[in-house]
Amino acid sequence: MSSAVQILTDYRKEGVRRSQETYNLSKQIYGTRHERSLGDEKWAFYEQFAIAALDVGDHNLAEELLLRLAEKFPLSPRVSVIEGMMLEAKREFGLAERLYNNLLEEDPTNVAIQKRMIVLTKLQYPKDLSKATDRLTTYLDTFYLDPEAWMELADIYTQQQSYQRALFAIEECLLMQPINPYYILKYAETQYTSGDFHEAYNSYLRVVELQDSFPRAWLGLKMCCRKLLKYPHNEQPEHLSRVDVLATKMSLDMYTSSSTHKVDDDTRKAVLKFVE
Amino acid sequence: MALTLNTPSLYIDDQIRDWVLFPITLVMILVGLLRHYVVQLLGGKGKKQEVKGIREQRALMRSAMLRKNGGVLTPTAFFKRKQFLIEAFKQGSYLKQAPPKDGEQQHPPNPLNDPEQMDSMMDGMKKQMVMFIPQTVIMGWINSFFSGFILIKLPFPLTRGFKSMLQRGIMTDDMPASYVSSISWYFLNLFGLNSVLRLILGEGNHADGVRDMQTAAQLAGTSSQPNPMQNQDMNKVFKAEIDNLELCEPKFMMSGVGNRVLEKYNG
Repeated sequence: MSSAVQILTDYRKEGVRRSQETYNLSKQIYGTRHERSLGDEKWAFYEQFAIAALDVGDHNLAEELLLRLAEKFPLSPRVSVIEGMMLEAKREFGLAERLYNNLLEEDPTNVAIQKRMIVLTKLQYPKDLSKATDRLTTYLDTFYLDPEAWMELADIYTQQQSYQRALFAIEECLLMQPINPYYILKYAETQYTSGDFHEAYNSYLRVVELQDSFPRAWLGLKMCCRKLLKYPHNEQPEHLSRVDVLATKMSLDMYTSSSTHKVDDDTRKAVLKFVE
Repeated sequence: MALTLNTPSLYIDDQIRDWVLFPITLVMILVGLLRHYVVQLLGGKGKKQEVKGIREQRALMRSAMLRKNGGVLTPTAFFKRKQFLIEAFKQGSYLKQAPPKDGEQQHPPNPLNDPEQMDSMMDGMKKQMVMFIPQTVIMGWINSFFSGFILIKLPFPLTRGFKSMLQRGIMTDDMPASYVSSISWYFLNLFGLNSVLRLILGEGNHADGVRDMQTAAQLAGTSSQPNPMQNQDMNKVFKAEIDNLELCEPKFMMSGVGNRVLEKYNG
């Protein structure tokens, strides 16, 4: 039981959402003596629990928690965020929009509300993403230092198949966190999808240079090599064949002989067949 | 003890411990607590930045980041960004206030005209008053009542170099340095009680007197760091940033990555 409290505290500190787990754990604690022993942490716990409850669709519980929070902090914009999420979950988009607009008028620098507004726009116009994109770019123009928002923008652009724009957004993330292998991987994959195999090849190489065991990157590198080997010889990068051998070996190592990774038989066969 | 062989140890009265040493420490802790709450009362809201101000700052950060990490991009992507930022900075599109026209005379904006700046200045002043007044009072109290007191003997020997630190206010050359005078005890407390206060109040409290002193030192201009109090001419900052950007020639990480990877895994 106390370990559940500990896990939830860790989630809060690290900003991990994991709604279903959070919901289950919170439910064990809610209303017991463990909750009372939380002290002032109780309110942060309620906030976390309410968001998790919304995520798993338990609106009644979320409402109960929201009422408690609103009673304690009547003017807090943080509670308003949950209230807005609640309205969004109930698909009352008009009300949510009005709420957010009011809050933004009061304080245009409230990042949490800004982000909710972007999500709301995405929900309101699921077919037409340009409105959400507009909002997102306006937000990023002011609050530049937000790699997650840039990633979101990249995702939207990828969905719309404007890969050059998506690449631009990922490049901004790379500038902010230059050795985060996940961003570089994303960069490489987008480059590959856009058909720029030379750049993708380099980016994949950057990933495996930074991180040893990254099966996805090795496999991507292998795919790039395969495409590049079809090019005329003078357009191939240096040492391509050697890199190809290395990528083949590493992919096989990671996916087949692995006792450390959990790879099921189908995946193993598929990789084998692909690498052959 | 080797030291006591040639210097007979002083006997310090129990009364001094009970009525001077402990009260000084206690008063300083209590004043620290009090300051925390007073500062909370005074500056409860915390100043909000304007959207445009944030945008201006973030643009500078963006340029700094491009200069620092530009090497991770491909050369084309890097130069495109560089060119874009230089152009934007030249036109002043990120500035909070529009840049002055060429003919116009440039005069630094008066900080007292900007209500936001004024607020932040008043805020800093208030905090410093809360810091300085109690410290002055305590120091006066110690100086007038306990000047020349020896309060405590540290349980370890120290070299003579510590005399000026530990025996301020006592002009005795021959006393071992491990005896601490009253005013020095005050200073030790001033710098050493922060962790105790942090234990009581948690992180990020306002009881930390030394930190306020550091900001005071910054105000006096002894520190080279730019501080928000001083009114910077952002126009000039951006001009300097343009030069920085133009000079920036990163080493591109993508070149030769194949060789490095082959070396890493085969070598």
